[in-house]
Amino acid sequence: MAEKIKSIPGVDNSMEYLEYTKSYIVSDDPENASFPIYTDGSISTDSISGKEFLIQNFTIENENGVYYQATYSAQFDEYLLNVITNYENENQKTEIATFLNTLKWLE
Amino acid sequence: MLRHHTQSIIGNYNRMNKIYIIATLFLFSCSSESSDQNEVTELNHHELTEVQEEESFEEIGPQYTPNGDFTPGIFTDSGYVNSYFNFQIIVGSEWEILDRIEQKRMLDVTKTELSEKNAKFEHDFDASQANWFEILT
Repeated sequence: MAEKIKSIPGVDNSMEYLEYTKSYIVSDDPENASFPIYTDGSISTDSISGKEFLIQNFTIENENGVYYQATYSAQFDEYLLNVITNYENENQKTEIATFLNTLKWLE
Repeated sequence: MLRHHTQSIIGNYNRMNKIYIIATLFLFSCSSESSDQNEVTELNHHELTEVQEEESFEEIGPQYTPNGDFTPGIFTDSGYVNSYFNFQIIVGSEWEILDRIEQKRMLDVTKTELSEKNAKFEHDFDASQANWFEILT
Protein backbone atom coordinates (compact mmCIF):
# COMPACT_ATOMS: atom_id res chain seq x y z
CA MET A 1 0.00 0.00 0.00
CA ALA A 2 1.04 3.58 -0.48
CA GLU A 3 0.82 6.61 1.74
CA LYS A 4 1.45 10.21 0.88
CA ILE A 5 4.24 11.58 3.00
CA LYS A 6 3.08 15.14 3.33
CA SER A 7 -0.23 14.04 4.76
CA ILE A 8 1.40 12.47 7.80
CA PRO A 9 2.42 15.11 10.33
CA GLY A 10 6.07 15.06 11.25
CA VAL A 11 6.96 12.38 8.76
CA ASP A 12 9.36 13.11 5.93
CA ASN A 13 10.84 9.72 5.12
CA SER A 14 10.54 5.97 5.66
CA MET A 15 12.44 5.97 8.93
CA GLU A 16 10.16 8.58 10.47
CA TYR A 17 7.13 6.76 9.09
CA LEU A 18 8.09 3.52 10.81
CA GLU A 19 8.75 5.36 14.06
CA TYR A 20 5.42 7.11 13.71
CA THR A 21 3.44 3.96 13.03
CA LYS A 22 5.24 2.03 15.74
CA SER A 23 3.87 4.39 18.33
CA TYR A 24 0.37 3.49 17.21
CA ILE A 25 0.83 -0.21 16.68
CA VAL A 26 2.70 -1.32 19.77
CA SER A 27 0.55 -1.96 22.78
CA ASP A 28 0.96 0.55 25.58
CA ASP A 29 -0.49 -1.87 28.07
CA PRO A 30 0.12 -5.39 26.75
CA GLU A 31 -1.21 -7.03 29.89
CA ASN A 32 -4.67 -5.71 29.15
CA ALA A 33 -4.57 -5.63 25.37
CA SER A 34 -6.78 -8.02 23.47
CA PHE A 35 -4.00 -8.62 20.98
CA PRO A 36 -0.68 -7.54 22.46
CA ILE A 37 1.79 -6.26 19.89
CA TYR A 38 5.49 -6.00 20.63
CA THR A 39 8.60 -4.82 18.85
CA ASP A 40 12.22 -4.51 19.87
CA GLY A 41 12.17 -1.13 18.15
CA SER A 42 14.96 -1.92 15.77
CA ILE A 43 14.76 -0.94 12.13
CA SER A 44 16.86 -2.84 9.66
CA THR A 45 17.35 -2.68 5.93
CA ASP A 46 16.75 -5.28 3.29
CA SER A 47 16.05 -5.21 -0.38
CA ILE A 48 13.20 -6.28 -2.56
CA SER A 49 14.69 -7.14 -5.90
CA GLY A 50 17.52 -4.71 -5.33
CA LYS A 51 15.49 -1.78 -4.01
CA GLU A 52 16.36 -0.94 -0.44
CA PHE A 53 13.53 -0.96 2.09
CA LEU A 54 13.55 -0.26 5.80
CA ILE A 55 12.02 -3.05 7.85
CA GLN A 56 10.42 -3.12 11.25
CA ASN A 57 9.33 -6.34 12.89
CA PHE A 58 6.45 -6.94 15.26
CA THR A 59 5.31 -9.87 17.33
CA ILE A 60 1.57 -10.20 17.71
CA GLU A 61 -0.28 -12.43 20.10
CA ASN A 62 -3.83 -13.52 19.75
CA GLU A 63 -5.92 -16.24 21.25
CA ASN A 64 -4.58 -18.73 18.75
CA GLY A 65 -0.93 -18.10 19.32
CA VAL A 66 1.88 -15.87 18.16
CA TYR A 67 2.67 -14.61 14.72
CA TYR A 68 5.00 -12.08 13.25
CA GLN A 69 4.62 -9.05 11.07
CA ALA A 70 7.29 -7.30 9.06
CA THR A 71 6.66 -3.87 7.60
CA TYR A 72 8.78 -2.85 4.62
CA SER A 73 8.85 0.82 3.71
CA ALA A 74 10.60 2.71 0.93
CA GLN A 75 10.20 6.23 -0.36
CA PHE A 76 9.27 6.94 -3.94
CA ASP A 77 9.16 10.69 -4.44
CA GLU A 78 6.19 11.96 -2.43
CA TYR A 79 4.90 8.52 -1.53
CA LEU A 80 5.93 5.69 0.72
CA LEU A 81 5.46 2.22 -0.65
CA ASN A 82 4.79 -0.17 2.20
CA VAL A 83 4.67 -3.93 2.09
CA ILE A 84 3.36 -5.77 5.10
CA THR A 85 3.98 -9.47 5.50
CA ASN A 86 2.75 -11.86 8.14
CA TYR A 87 4.09 -15.26 8.99
CA GLU A 88 4.11 -17.83 11.73
CA ASN A 89 7.47 -19.46 11.28
CA GLU A 90 10.76 -19.20 9.45
CA ASN A 91 9.58 -21.34 6.56
CA GLN A 92 6.74 -18.96 5.84
CA LYS A 93 9.06 -15.98 6.24
CA THR A 94 11.41 -17.47 3.68
CA GLU A 95 8.58 -18.29 1.31
CA ILE A 96 7.26 -14.73 1.43
CA ALA A 97 10.71 -13.23 1.00
CA THR A 98 11.30 -15.45 -2.00
CA PHE A 99 8.02 -14.35 -3.49
CA LEU A 100 8.69 -10.65 -2.89
CA ASN A 101 11.97 -10.97 -4.70
CA THR A 102 10.20 -12.14 -7.82
CA LEU A 103 9.03 -8.53 -8.06
CA LYS A 104 10.68 -6.80 -10.99
CA TRP A 105 11.38 -3.07 -11.06
CA LEU A 106 10.79 -1.73 -14.50
CA GLU A 107 13.15 0.62 -16.27
CA MET B 1 -3.28 3.19 7.81
CA LEU B 2 -0.64 0.76 8.95
CA ARG B 3 -2.13 0.64 12.38
CA HIS B 4 -5.53 -0.11 10.99
CA HIS B 5 -4.06 -2.69 8.69
CA THR B 6 -2.50 -4.43 11.65
CA GLN B 7 -5.79 -4.40 13.49
CA SER B 8 -7.53 -5.76 10.43
CA ILE B 9 -5.07 -8.55 10.09
CA ILE B 10 -5.54 -9.48 13.71
CA GLY B 11 -9.23 -9.74 13.07
CA ASN B 12 -8.74 -11.68 9.92
CA TYR B 13 -5.67 -13.65 10.72
CA ASN B 14 -7.28 -17.02 11.11
CA ARG B 15 -8.94 -16.69 7.79
CA MET B 16 -5.88 -15.16 6.29
CA ASN B 17 -3.25 -17.02 4.40
CA LYS B 18 -0.56 -15.95 2.05
CA ILE B 19 -3.23 -15.08 -0.46
CA TYR B 20 -4.44 -12.30 1.77
CA ILE B 21 -0.95 -10.97 1.98
CA ILE B 22 -0.89 -10.69 -1.76
CA ALA B 23 -4.23 -8.97 -1.75
CA THR B 24 -2.69 -6.49 0.64
CA LEU B 25 0.32 -6.11 -1.55
CA PHE B 26 -1.94 -5.09 -4.36
CA LEU B 27 -3.54 -2.33 -2.33
CA PHE B 28 -1.66 0.53 -3.89
CA SER B 29 -3.76 3.59 -3.58
CA CYS B 30 -2.77 7.18 -3.39
CA SER B 31 -4.94 10.04 -2.37
CA SER B 32 -5.06 13.70 -3.06
CA GLU B 33 -4.11 16.41 -0.69
CA SER B 34 -6.27 16.90 2.33
CA SER B 35 -6.89 20.00 4.31
CA ASP B 36 -6.71 17.91 7.45
CA GLN B 37 -3.19 16.73 7.96
CA ASN B 38 -4.26 14.24 10.56
CA GLU B 39 -6.44 12.47 8.10
CA VAL B 40 -4.96 9.32 6.74
CA THR B 41 -4.55 9.40 3.02
CA GLU B 42 -5.40 5.84 2.24
CA LEU B 43 -8.84 4.81 3.24
CA ASN B 44 -10.20 1.37 3.55
CA HIS B 45 -13.66 0.22 4.40
CA HIS B 46 -13.60 1.01 8.07
CA GLU B 47 -11.62 4.20 7.86
CA LEU B 48 -13.92 5.59 5.25
CA THR B 49 -16.80 4.97 7.59
CA GLU B 50 -14.99 6.86 10.30
CA VAL B 51 -14.25 9.84 8.14
CA GLN B 52 -17.84 10.00 7.10
CA GLU B 53 -18.84 10.28 10.73
CA GLU B 54 -17.00 13.56 10.97
CA GLU B 55 -17.31 14.89 7.49
CA SER B 56 -19.49 13.56 4.74
CA PHE B 57 -18.02 12.34 1.49
CA GLU B 58 -19.60 15.24 -0.36
CA GLU B 59 -18.29 17.78 2.12
CA ILE B 60 -14.74 16.55 1.75
CA GLY B 61 -14.76 17.67 -1.83
CA PRO B 62 -13.37 16.73 -5.18
CA GLN B 63 -10.09 15.41 -3.89
CA TYR B 64 -11.97 12.27 -2.93
CA THR B 65 -13.40 11.58 -6.33
CA PRO B 66 -12.86 7.98 -7.34
CA ASN B 67 -10.21 8.85 -9.86
CA GLY B 68 -8.15 11.25 -7.77
CA ASP B 69 -4.53 10.35 -8.22
CA PHE B 70 -5.30 6.75 -7.44
CA THR B 71 -2.70 4.54 -9.07
CA PRO B 72 -4.03 1.03 -8.80
CA GLY B 73 -1.95 -0.57 -11.49
CA ILE B 74 -3.09 -3.21 -13.90
CA PHE B 75 -3.84 -6.85 -13.32
CA THR B 76 -2.98 -9.36 -15.96
CA ASP B 77 -3.68 -13.06 -16.07
CA SER B 78 -0.40 -13.77 -14.38
CA GLY B 79 0.32 -10.81 -12.18
CA TYR B 80 0.21 -7.13 -11.45
CA VAL B 81 1.90 -4.04 -12.85
CA ASN B 82 2.03 -0.63 -11.19
CA SER B 83 3.27 2.17 -13.37
CA TYR B 84 3.58 4.74 -10.58
CA PHE B 85 6.00 2.66 -8.55
CA ASN B 86 7.21 1.10 -11.76
CA PHE B 87 7.24 -2.58 -10.97
CA GLN B 88 5.58 -5.80 -11.89
CA ILE B 89 5.11 -8.99 -9.97
CA ILE B 90 4.09 -12.32 -11.34
CA VAL B 91 1.65 -14.35 -9.34
CA GLY B 92 2.34 -18.01 -9.80
CA SER B 93 -0.21 -20.76 -9.97
CA GLU B 94 -0.04 -21.35 -6.22
CA TRP B 95 -1.33 -17.88 -5.52
CA GLU B 96 -4.74 -16.46 -5.95
CA ILE B 97 -5.98 -12.88 -5.97
CA LEU B 98 -9.06 -12.75 -3.80
CA ASP B 99 -10.23 -9.23 -4.40
CA ARG B 100 -9.13 -7.03 -7.23
CA ILE B 101 -9.26 -3.36 -6.47
CA GLU B 102 -8.55 -1.86 -9.84
CA GLN B 103 -11.28 0.73 -9.53
CA LYS B 104 -11.50 0.93 -5.78
CA ARG B 105 -9.88 3.21 -3.26
CA MET B 106 -9.91 0.54 -0.62
CA LEU B 107 -9.72 -3.13 0.08
CA ASP B 108 -12.90 -4.38 1.66
CA VAL B 109 -11.59 -6.79 4.23
CA THR B 110 -15.04 -8.25 4.67
CA LYS B 111 -14.68 -9.78 1.23
CA THR B 112 -11.62 -11.78 1.99
CA GLU B 113 -12.27 -15.42 1.59
CA LEU B 114 -13.49 -17.39 4.58
CA SER B 115 -12.67 -21.01 4.84
CA GLU B 116 -14.68 -23.49 6.81
CA LYS B 117 -11.97 -23.96 9.39
CA ASN B 118 -12.03 -20.26 10.13
CA ALA B 119 -15.72 -20.00 10.72
CA LYS B 120 -15.32 -20.16 14.45
CA PHE B 121 -12.92 -17.26 14.54
CA GLU B 122 -15.23 -15.25 12.36
CA HIS B 123 -17.95 -15.94 14.88
CA ASP B 124 -15.76 -14.91 17.80
CA PHE B 125 -14.42 -11.78 16.16
CA ASP B 126 -16.74 -9.99 13.82
CA ALA B 127 -14.62 -7.29 12.24
CA SER B 128 -17.65 -5.69 10.67
CA GLN B 129 -19.09 -5.05 14.11
CA ALA B 130 -15.90 -3.85 15.75
CA ASN B 131 -15.80 -0.27 16.84
CA TRP B 132 -12.89 0.73 14.65
CA PHE B 133 -13.29 4.39 15.41
CA GLU B 134 -12.69 3.71 19.05
CA ILE B 135 -9.83 1.38 18.29
CA LEU B 136 -8.10 3.94 16.17
CA THR B 137 -8.48 6.90 18.46
